[in-house]
Amino acid sequence: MIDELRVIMVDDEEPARRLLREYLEDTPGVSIVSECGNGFEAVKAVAEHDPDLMLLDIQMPKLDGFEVVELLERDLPIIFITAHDEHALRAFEVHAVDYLLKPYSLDRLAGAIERARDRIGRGEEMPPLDELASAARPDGGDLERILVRDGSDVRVIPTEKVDYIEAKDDAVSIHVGGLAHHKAQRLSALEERLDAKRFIRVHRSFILNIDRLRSIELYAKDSRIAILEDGTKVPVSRSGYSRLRDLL
Amino acid sequence: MHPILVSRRHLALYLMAWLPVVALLTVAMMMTGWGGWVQSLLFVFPMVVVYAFLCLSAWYPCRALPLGDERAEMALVMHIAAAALSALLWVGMAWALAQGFERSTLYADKTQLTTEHTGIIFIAGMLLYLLSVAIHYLFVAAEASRAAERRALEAEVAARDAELQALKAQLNPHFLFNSLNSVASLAATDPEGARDMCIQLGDYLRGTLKSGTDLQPLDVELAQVRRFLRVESVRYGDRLRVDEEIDDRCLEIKVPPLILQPLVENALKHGIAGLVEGGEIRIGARCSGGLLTVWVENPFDTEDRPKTGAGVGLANVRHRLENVFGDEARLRSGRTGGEYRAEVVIPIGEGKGDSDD
Repeated sequence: MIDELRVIMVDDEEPARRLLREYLEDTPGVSIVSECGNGFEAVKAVAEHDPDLMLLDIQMPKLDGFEVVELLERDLPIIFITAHDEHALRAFEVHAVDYLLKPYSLDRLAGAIERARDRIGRGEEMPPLDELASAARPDGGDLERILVRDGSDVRVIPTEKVDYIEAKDDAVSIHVGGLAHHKAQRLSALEERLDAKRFIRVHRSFILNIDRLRSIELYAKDSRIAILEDGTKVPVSRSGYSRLRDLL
Repeated sequence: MHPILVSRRHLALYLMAWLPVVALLTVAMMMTGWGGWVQSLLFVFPMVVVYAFLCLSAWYPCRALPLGDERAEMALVMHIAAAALSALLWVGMAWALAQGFERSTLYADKTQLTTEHTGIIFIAGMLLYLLSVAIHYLFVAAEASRAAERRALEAEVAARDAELQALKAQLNPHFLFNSLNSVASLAATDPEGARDMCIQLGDYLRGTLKSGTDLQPLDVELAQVRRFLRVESVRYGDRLRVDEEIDDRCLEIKVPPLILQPLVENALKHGIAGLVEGGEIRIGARCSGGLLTVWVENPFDTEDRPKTGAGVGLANVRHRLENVFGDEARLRSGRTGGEYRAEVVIPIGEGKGDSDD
């Protein structure tokens, strides 16, 4: 058992934070290690304080609660707090420990914290956060920006600025204007969310932004390379070539 | 799917109903010299079982040719023809069966199928088929009435649903939930603020419920918008700033109710709420040349992905303007740099609702 739960709370509204703070001060065995007013601060604070539990608002400027979850890169029990029932339902799908609907009572919060304590005490394994976060997005629309972490900072990359993406084991390297950004996500998971008319899987380990393509050259029998506008060479497999040809 | 074939129980009941037919035909065959009752039953039973199934086919023409249609006469002719055809098939079967019996050793006496037997079978076949048609029409009628009932129920549910959606949109539940959360927050630390917020919220709700469809002075609409923003400014704190640039000469001009409210809600939801530092909502009104122009401007996060839902409020306003002013009124909206502007232009003292009184 953990005696003292170290929690971090995230909400962009000051009155909402004030209420949560007041409630938490009345809850034994809990200490607030950080209060954040937006998603960027939250991502940073998790890296800095290594909390046991996060209380997370969903609707926030810049980074919403689901995007914060996506950027955590580690298991952390989460209690979502929102005024929107439909968000709560999605939060539940992300296997959040619990969710609270605004306005909520102290008892309700205490119950949620008890559940979190149980879950931590049992050492229950939690599903990979990035997969669940993307599963929780119901819109089905194409990804318009990719969030990556740069130390404890968050970088927002609009997808049209991406040149190509390379698989690196279970992670990806996103190449933008000569710079590479690392992200802990599988290439296939990222591929599913990208606009299929612009981003083509040209190789087992490469996704190409078709707007950057200058030419394709035959390299050996059945093997080609794509040359990007900045001269970068990307391998193209046979099936990748047929996908490219279908699109062009 | 055939209503009798959908369940075993239906089929069992249906076949039971044919038992008296078996009895009657057996007696008829005995009396016309076919043989003893065992012999007659052995002949009649398979005949009736087959015919019971054959008669089920009446369902399809019955469904295709509903009664009470102008084609009712045609339906009658069709059914009689179908009955004759079925009866002929039955006679054919009787003939084949009799041939079979003649060759088998089962029968002691060799009997022949006479004209009398054929006549009985044909007439019975006609009548039974037509009876089946009548019964199938009952099924068709029952099904039609069930379908009509269901449609009426569905229509009612859809109407209720639309009403509920409209009510929900008007009450803006998320705004209410978040405001109640703010009240809960203020209750301990700032009781006076909590009380003030309850009063503002009450005024706002009353204003929302009171607004009908009659045109009202711009002044009244602005007051409602100010109540909304005052409640929201508790939630957003310093992040929400409001600036007004209203020409006093415009205040008496009549506008449709809740014409400005959706624009201000959008400015907050899709503008200020997406900015970490918040920003200023500017509301303005100007009147000249017989036109009233009201606008709402707000900054928004240019890096943010476009949010869904902004269009609903605008479509609502556009629809309302069209209802009142036809194509005399305009709603324009667009972004320049990091600023969004929505603008409503209304002819002064025109609107249908206004000129009527």
